[in-house]
Amino acid sequence: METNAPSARPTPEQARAALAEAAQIRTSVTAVAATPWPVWFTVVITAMFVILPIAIGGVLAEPEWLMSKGVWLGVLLASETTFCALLAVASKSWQAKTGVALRWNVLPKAVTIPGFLGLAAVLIGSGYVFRYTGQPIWLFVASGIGAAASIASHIVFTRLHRKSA
Amino acid sequence: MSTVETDPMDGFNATIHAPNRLRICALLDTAAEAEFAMIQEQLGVSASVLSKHVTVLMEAGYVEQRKAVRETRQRVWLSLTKEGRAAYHAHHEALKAIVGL
Repeated sequence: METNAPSARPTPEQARAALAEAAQIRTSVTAVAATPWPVWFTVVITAMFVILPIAIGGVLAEPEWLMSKGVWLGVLLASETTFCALLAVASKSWQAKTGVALRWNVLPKAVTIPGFLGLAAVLIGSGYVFRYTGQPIWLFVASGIGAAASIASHIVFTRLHRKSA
Repeated sequence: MSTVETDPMDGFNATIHAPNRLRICALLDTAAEAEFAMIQEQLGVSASVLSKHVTVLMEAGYVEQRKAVRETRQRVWLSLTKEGRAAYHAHHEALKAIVGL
């Protein structure tokens, strides 16, 4: 039975066992932290990535494209507001399900940071390319890339979770 | 000019070293914040045993708690304090020094 009394320094074997216990619990918690977000939220993120470049393109279009810039701006703001609200719901639900705080460092930074910056560049940059070329295909290509990235990250998390569980 | 070298063994911490408390600290260091029931499940201990160890860690100033209501029930979320995280890392380094890593 454990006591609260100060213990003597452990032997190398005991220290090794303690380190192994700590490593085991870290692995187990990392598996929990890699729990994929619910499928409905993956659908929401994917839809957001599809809408975002098209709405940005509409806002940046010169001359106006399909609708007025004000309407495109309204679409952009409404979709982002809806996304943020659903993100809050999904985040709360995920934390309640897993019992751990959200972590943004489950995947290595070497993957996530370039991925995030690259995706932002594609989603926003496609709007400018459309503005200067007048070809909406660039918006649809960016939508496709965003949707693919969303689905791919869900699959990666699902596999990571299964692998480490 | 002289440099002061610290002995990793100075970080050995008897409060943290108790097996369940070491695992609690390792869990909270990894998870940042975790719910009491989740920690209990991960450690495979009773609520009273976990509560006893958490109390020791809180009295040492290493762990803090936050209470939140979910589905009409109050849930306790635990996290390491800044001092707790530093103490755990120092203890971890001390253990590695003992092993010779």
